[in-house]
Amino acid sequence: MSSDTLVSVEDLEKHFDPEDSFLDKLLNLETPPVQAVDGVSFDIKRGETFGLVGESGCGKSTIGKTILRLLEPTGGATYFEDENIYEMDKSELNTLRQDIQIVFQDPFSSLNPRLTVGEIVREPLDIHDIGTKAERREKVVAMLERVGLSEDQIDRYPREFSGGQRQRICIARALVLEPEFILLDEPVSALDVSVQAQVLNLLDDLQKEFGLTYLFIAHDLGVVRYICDRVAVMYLGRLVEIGPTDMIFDDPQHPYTRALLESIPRADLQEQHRTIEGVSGDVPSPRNPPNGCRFHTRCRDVIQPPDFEFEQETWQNLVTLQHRLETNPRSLSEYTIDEDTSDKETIARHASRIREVFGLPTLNSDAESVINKAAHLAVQGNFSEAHQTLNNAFTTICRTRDPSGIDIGEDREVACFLCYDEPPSIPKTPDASTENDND
Amino acid sequence: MSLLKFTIKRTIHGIVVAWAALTIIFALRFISPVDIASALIPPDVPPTARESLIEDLGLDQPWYVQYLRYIGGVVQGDLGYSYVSRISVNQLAINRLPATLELAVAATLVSVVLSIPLGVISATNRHQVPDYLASFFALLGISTPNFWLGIMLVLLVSVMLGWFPTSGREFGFYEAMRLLILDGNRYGIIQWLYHITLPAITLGTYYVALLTRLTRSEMLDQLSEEYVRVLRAKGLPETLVTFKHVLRNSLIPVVTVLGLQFGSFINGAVVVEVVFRWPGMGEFLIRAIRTVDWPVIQGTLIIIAITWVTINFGVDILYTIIDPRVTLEGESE
Amino acid sequence: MTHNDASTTSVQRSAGTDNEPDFGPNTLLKVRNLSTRFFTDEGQVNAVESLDFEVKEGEVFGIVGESGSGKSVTGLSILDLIESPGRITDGEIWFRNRSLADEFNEQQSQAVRDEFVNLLELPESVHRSLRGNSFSMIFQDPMSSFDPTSTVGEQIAEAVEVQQRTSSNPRSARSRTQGYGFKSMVLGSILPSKSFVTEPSMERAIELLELVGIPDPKKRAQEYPHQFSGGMLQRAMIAQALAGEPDLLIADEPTTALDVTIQAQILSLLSDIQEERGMSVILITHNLGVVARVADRLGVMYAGEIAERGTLKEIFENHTHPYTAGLLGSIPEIDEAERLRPIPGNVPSLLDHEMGDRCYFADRCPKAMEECMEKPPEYEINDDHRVRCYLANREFDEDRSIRDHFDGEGGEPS
Ligand SMILES: Nc1ncnc2c1ncn2[C@@H]1O[C@H](COP(=O)(O)OP(=O)(O)O)[C@@H](O)[C@H]1O
Ligand code: SF4
Ligand code: SF4
Ligand SMILES: [Mg+2]
Repeated sequence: MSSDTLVSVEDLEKHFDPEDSFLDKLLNLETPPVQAVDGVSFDIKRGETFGLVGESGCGKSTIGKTILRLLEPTGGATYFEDENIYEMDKSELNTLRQDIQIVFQDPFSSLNPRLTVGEIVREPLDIHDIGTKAERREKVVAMLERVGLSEDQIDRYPREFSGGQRQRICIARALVLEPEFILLDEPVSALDVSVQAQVLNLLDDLQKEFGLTYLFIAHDLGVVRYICDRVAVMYLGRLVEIGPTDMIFDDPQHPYTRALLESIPRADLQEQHRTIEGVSGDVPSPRNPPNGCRFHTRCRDVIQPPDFEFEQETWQNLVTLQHRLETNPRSLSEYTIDEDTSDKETIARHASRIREVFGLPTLNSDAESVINKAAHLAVQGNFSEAHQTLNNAFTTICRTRDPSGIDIGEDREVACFLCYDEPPSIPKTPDASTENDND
Repeated sequence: MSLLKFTIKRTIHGIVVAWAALTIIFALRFISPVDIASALIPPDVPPTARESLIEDLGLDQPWYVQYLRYIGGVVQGDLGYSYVSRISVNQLAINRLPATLELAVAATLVSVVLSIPLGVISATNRHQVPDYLASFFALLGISTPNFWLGIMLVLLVSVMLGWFPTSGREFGFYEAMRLLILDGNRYGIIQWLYHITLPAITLGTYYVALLTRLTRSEMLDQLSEEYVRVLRAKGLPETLVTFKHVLRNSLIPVVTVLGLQFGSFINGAVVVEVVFRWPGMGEFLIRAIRTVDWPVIQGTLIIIAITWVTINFGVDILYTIIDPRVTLEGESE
Repeated sequence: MTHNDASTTSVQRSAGTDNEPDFGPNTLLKVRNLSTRFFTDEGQVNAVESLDFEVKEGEVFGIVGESGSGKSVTGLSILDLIESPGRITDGEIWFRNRSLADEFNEQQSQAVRDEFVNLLELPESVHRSLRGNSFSMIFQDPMSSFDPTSTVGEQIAEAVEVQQRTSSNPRSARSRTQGYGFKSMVLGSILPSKSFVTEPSMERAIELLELVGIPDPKKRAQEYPHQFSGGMLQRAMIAQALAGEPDLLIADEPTTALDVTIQAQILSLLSDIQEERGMSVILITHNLGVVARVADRLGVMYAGEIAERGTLKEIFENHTHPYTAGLLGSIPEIDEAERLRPIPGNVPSLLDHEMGDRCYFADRCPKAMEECMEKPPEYEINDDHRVRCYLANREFDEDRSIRDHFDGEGGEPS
């Protein structure tokens, strides 16, 4: 670890166990754990703002809480100034709590309504027993003034302030202990745009003034571009891309990052003429994430099997069908026919309907017979065999292997096989390898 | 989760709960300041006869032997014999349980029939005369003690007006129905209704207050939900908005409370049964307490506990029917 | 200092003027002088204040503004969905509906102009009977917008049914219950044949689900809202709003609760459907990117008023109002990372007794001048562009600046 690294997260993993009781286990009623964070590594350099972006539910906040040890991880480590925080004892943790502070999204619920603003900001000083009474007050006043409030507001209660002002109070409370590191979890998403800009500028100024290091969690990419030096993009509990902000925004490498940036509407007159290459479908459940690359079920660029040449769209549709057959075949039951129907024509009609729904046109290649066979099996309700048929014929590395982050130079890492110089080989049995095999 | 697995799970839960109840009830006897032997055996009984009686009742054994015997008995479905009448508690309780259940169900009906319409009227006429009237009525119900209302009803409706009998239970529901179905004779069911009306009203009114207020506040909560606005925005008739959507959602907590209350109906029945001399578990229990008839006290309490557990199970199942978000796993997806 | 010296191009519409509405050839909706207030314990809230705007046929009209500026209340007012303690206290809402105009021409001629009816002058029941089939609305949070205990299919089928019953009943026979009273409701819950939702409307619901891009519509129709993802449910809500084939769809922050990738899907669905059906849309949002993506014209709302309105181009490139400039200057864009220029101060409370009689933006406006202590009228800059600010016909004059009088707290320590 280089000396300019303040926080280093290594292979962090947090799985939330379902709240199964002993009886559930006994009766075999267990539900799979939610893989909220699944093997995430990154370093935060001293004095920088490190952004963590991704869609809701992808695990951003869980990472934040685990780094602060508000949650215990199920694996991995977090080093703060070279100390693993999960091995710290009580007194070490106590000092750590002074060095690390957090500001949450919702300034309304983070402030105790029964305390005055002065008391709220003073509280951390009281807890850690810092300074005399007079010194504390002086510090509190200075801090409130620094964040844009005035001394005569010190005896007012949170409800007398607007959202933006409350967020300023939260920031003052975080700063009063003179921490080195502040975790900002969606600090401006609950604020109005005009007020949001005020708070962002304030954060920027404070960082310069106090030499702070920020971990900035957000879903608004505009905000992230504005404030962050480096960014990590998350998808379903994993990091897909990490690098300097400008490079990620100007030249995204991971298909997910590209789609995410594409999706953002720009306040620009040309916006209506821009064609968006976004993503289709929904984020899969973190209880049961897709095998291989977690993004492969929605990836536009999902890699084709070596011996075929599909239209990319057809291939993507085929992957979708494969995934459905594997994870939720019952949802296809509306296309099936009665068990005892053996009428060839009916079967064929249903088979072409399912192909139509999934966007699989008739092809003139070897693939045609396979797809046709699978469609026939599926309409007869034989989902597992249909799945097997497709799987045996079309294996893509994106489904079978898990891409680990690869260094592409300029301080960037991307977890996508397209960025590998030489993609690893496809294992013989599909789905056999879900662990990383290259380092 | 399948219903079978759910049932197994709940049965195991139920057994644990019942066992805990059993143990507490058993322990009560040792905490109780009244010495059983001296309460049971008249002072003029000669000491030798007294010794043999105590031995007979097993009271000379250390507590753990008594406990094990007792548990063993319960497991085999044997609740022991009454100290007083020497009749098996099973027999006695079986005779009594239906009366209490009938009363509890009838009282539930009374409270539901009165409170849900009242709650709906209140909520849809918020801060208007009907709402105030309903609130007043509800307040009246909650501030009137059961026994007092019972006595008043007896005095006014039975004694002065002579509309209903003052006490007793001529027919059980089961016998009355047999009579009706097998012989086509309506006498039994009329008698049954005739006798149960006042006790059921007495017991039910108390909960009317609670349930009316619950229905009202739930309806008001639901009416301010976003989805109601959407229902209106799509042009749905107000009748459907109120009754099909809002009421249905408001009933979810009402059913929970009803399920929980059913247990208290049985508790409340104790008082009402005494007032109306309704021959149910409550009246039975009070009598047993007076005579320190421990096997009967224990037996009655155990049966009440088991009824509780069973009813909660039923309410859980009912829940999954009215609220699709609730699955048998007990967690929403 | 009075400023009735407004130039000839200025149009002044103060409350109470009784000039005739003028309708363009393709006007669908014209809101004039609309005021909606809430009478709360803290005082009177002027949520919407003398609002004027117009929506043309087949266009997307965007309303942008910060939270609390009155955007939602505007939408709800059009549908007559304002509930106590709120009330529409003044104004006119003209809506093009030929058959209604013919019907009411005799009995209530003041409520009719050409093909337009003033919804606020019609009987309440008539106004409400237009919900679903003349205009419908979708909301921000799809999860709380569906009844959690009915299936999604059933709820959409209800909307279909409403439409069908409306078109088959003569309007005069319609009562408050729209032909479905308590008795039918009780019968319907017992006898499936009498239930409100019929087989054909359920089938139509499934078609609608398919139309908005929901896979396996047949199966999904039988599922409950909690079994849907946010994006899918927002699609379902759009399907529901389309059931009555409305002329006007009001979409209140339709993508705010969604992730950007899903937001992009929903926006393109909305604009596809809008184009296909030639329907008009009022798109309410705080996100300028979203209006840029789909709107043709827009109004910028501040403190219950439309501060500036015009075509997208006029507003983005030729804005006059300092608030519009401030809003555009405070959004962090993904393409560049220059320092933001936030608007100092806070969003006003809209409490009547705190509002005063000056320009509502004066205490945050960097260009506030002496004349701004009196409310500015709405000036017409050109056919496509109106603004409620004195800067429409004069330059900012440093000498008359009153910036020092207000010290907007929490402002940029520039
Ligand atoms: N039910 C209500 N009771 C009292 N005030 C309300 C109510 N609904 C809205 N308001 C007030 O009306 C104003 C405008 O609100 P709204 O239209 O929701 O703003 P926007 O949609 O622009 O965020 C706000 O000041 C809000 O407090
Ligand atoms: S590894 Fe494959 S599926 Fe994953 S992002 Fe890259 S191309 Fe797409
Ligand atoms: S009228 Fe005056 S105060 Fe109001 S926005 Fe225009 S310049 Fe600013
Ligand atoms: Mg709103």
